[in-house]
Amino acid sequence: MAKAAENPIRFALNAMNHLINTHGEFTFSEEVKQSLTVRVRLQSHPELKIVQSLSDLDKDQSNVWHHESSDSYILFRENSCNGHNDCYLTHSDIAISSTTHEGLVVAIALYEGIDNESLDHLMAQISKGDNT
Amino acid sequence: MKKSQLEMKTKKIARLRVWEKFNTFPGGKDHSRSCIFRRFDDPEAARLFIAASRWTKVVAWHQDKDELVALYSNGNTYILFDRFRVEESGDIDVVIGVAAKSTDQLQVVMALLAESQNQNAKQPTLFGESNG
Repeated sequence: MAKAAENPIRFALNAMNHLINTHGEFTFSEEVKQSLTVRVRLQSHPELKIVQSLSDLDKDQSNVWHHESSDSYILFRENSCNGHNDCYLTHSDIAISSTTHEGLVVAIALYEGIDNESLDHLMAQISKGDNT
Repeated sequence: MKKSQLEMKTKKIARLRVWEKFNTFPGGKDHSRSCIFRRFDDPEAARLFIAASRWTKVVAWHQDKDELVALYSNGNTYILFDRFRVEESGDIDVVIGVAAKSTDQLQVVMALLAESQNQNAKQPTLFGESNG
């Protein structure tokens, strides 16, 4: 408890990581370059429900969404350098965790903005056993 | 896996999690357990062969760009496919590990994996020759 009280931001981030890492055996991670595009896509998706959120004093954001039908959690983390080491970029990364391989594929498709028709085609391939 | 590890970024520990699952393969009732690691000429052909088999299912998966660690199982054996980037050289390397309850089962899987390499070798190339 004392450790948690020392740094609540670190505590919140640890809780998010713990949620993703213990949810399922099927995971995906990636550095994200189009940070704003991804955030808007995730925030505006009707099937994604935000379950954890953290915004710190530097306005860095970390959010966890849950996608019920695929039973997947998506953690999207955005960190701005704000001129530190002459860097003004926003560094973002995403981690997705699912309880099934099919669920993971669906969640990755949501993150990448694949349209429903393409997703249906992908799922049909998976159901045929071509889940490579 | 320790709680402190599970609080780390998924990118950092997902590979460890899959390896840990492979390492904790239960073995036989008499605690018998056989394990082998090999490099193959065409590891992707071996992985596709495993993935397409009706007897195996994927039980754990982590993907990060071109790196992939996947664990397949047919109940009696675990087959680990690990495609990773070598830190020193930046090259991609692939290792396949098999854990089985007996050496017989291990040999059956290794024979199947070897067959996947042979099948690939028999495929004609653009020049009408075997690429083996």
